[in-house]
Amino acid sequence: MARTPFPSFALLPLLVAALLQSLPTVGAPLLIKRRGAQLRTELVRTVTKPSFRWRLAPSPDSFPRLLFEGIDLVTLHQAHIYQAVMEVPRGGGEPDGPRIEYKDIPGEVIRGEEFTRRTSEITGPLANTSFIVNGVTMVTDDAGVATDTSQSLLALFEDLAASTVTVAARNDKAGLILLTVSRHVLKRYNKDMGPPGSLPKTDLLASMGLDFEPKRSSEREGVTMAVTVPDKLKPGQSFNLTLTVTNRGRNETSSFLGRTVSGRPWLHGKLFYIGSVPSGTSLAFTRHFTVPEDANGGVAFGGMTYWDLLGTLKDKGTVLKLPIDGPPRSPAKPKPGPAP
Amino acid sequence: MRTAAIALALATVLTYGQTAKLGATAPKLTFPAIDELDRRENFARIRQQALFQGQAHQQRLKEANAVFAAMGRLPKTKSVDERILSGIKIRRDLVVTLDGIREDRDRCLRILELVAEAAREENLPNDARHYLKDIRDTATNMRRFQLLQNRRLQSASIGLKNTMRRIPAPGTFENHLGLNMVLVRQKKTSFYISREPVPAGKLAEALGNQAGKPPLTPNWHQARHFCRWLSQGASAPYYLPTLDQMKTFTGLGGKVTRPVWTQDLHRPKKLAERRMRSRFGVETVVLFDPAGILGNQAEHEEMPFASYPEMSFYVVTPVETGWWLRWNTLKQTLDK
Repeated sequence: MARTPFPSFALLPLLVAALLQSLPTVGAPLLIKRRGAQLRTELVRTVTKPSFRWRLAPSPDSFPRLLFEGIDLVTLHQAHIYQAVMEVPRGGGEPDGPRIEYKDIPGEVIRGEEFTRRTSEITGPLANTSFIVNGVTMVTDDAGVATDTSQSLLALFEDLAASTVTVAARNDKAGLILLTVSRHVLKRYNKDMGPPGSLPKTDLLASMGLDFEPKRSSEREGVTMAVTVPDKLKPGQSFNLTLTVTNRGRNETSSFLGRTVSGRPWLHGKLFYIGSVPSGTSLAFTRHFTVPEDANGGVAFGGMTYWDLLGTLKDKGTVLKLPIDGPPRSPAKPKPGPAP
Repeated sequence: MRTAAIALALATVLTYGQTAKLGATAPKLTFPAIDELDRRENFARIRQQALFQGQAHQQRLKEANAVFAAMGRLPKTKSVDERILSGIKIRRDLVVTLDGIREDRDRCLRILELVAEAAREENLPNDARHYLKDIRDTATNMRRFQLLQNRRLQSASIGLKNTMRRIPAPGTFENHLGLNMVLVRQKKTSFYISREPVPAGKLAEALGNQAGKPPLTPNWHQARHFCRWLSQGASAPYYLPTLDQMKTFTGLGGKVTRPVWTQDLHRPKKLAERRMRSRFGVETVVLFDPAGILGNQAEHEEMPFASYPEMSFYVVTPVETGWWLRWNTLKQTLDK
């Protein structure tokens, strides 16, 4: 059996300390100050930190709007104040009663430990403030609304498989705040999405006023598509492409989508959200494009392809020809070699 | 007149009487003279057929031997054209010989049927029976030999086909449109490719010159239409080259100075992109641009309806096309 190494001289300081503690009690009355009833809570100090909150705001066009509101995050450092009491031995009295009693010390209080409490106060829209959202700088207007002119939020949802994306907004003073944005092309109200009323606050398409609820009696007869293309472009130029869907059929369309396809990466893969177009009306959606600085001159070919609730609209794609004004690329020298 | 009527009535009565007797006792009526005549005619036919077959058999034997001898000489022929010509001749002789053997076998079968029919006759003289037996034995032996010859010739036909296949395809040929096709040899599948891109004039011809002016910048659909049109005219398959074929062509020194269409459809690397394209029902094609005219990369993804002034296309055809073209040309020479 192993013996625990514990040297006997280690107990000596403990014994000495116990003896010293017991010395004042010998032959002297007990005068111990104790914490009595809580009198009040005192505010020690207040720390205020500016922050913000943001959400999708209703948008009248194809460019998402974001509403930024200022918040003051207030941290209250507080402490409880207690009445100071003295612990004295009780004289006479009943043999079975308490041996000590507490007496107030007039004019003396005991302050407890500090604790913090956090609150927030909405200070209103953050007007004319710069934010970096998803790497893009946006400036709010007087109403605290920033317009995503580059459609960077829409760019996060070019893949239809992505339904929710968490986006970060950063301000130099107010820090970084995350927001989860959703995009539901085939909208279903289920538990994950919350009540229908809460949807526009988080859903990108709902915030833009687009109706993407599946319609059972949807049709595609009499639906025509037109794409507005700029006449001339230059390398480095930004431009908008507008898809207009006109429904001259009897029933409305359902979950109508357009998508660009091209061999040019800057023109490829952008979704155009149309949704439901009631009979006899037309709906337009605009996307923002930028021609690269190093783009060749000539015509950039692309196509607009379509899909709705009934499936692909084959052979109805729109040909896109974007004339770019610039010098054509000079051909590289081919490899020399004999013909086979 | 009265005499003839009496004779007819008598004959009728006699015939009726004989018929009544037939039903009762059925005695056999024999006409020895007529039977003898029939037998002679049958025997004459058998003899005639047997003599003809004997001569035909000798002829077939000579033909088969000539075919085998020519096949033995074929690998020793040095000139490719001569070898092909010899092969064509041998093949023709072989087909003729095989047809002859088939006819001989049918003829032998007919002789055997005639012999069997003749042997059923009663009261045949012994000499006649011996004669029939000889004929039957000879015809049976001939049929056995014909079967053997047929098998040998079939094997020779397969051997000839293999020998002809080993003859290399020509290095170049010019098709009916005047496109110069060059052979690109590969380990797995060799192919012919047009030495130069398809000229705009030929393309305009293929497209029917609808707009009044030849389209100088073909899009992918027009290029494929040209290939179909060329295939119909040439009775041989012509396609747009694949990307691998274009790379092989340039790797062997082919000069491709302009972006050219390939028949490959572009397949995005990302699964999500492939799904999106499938959902929207769109496909793009691969453009081969080793000179870097349209971009920095040698391979581009492009819309099928795109057409640039620099764009062009080549056509490819299987190696068999050149081979058959030479074969047919030599065959026509032989026919003339």
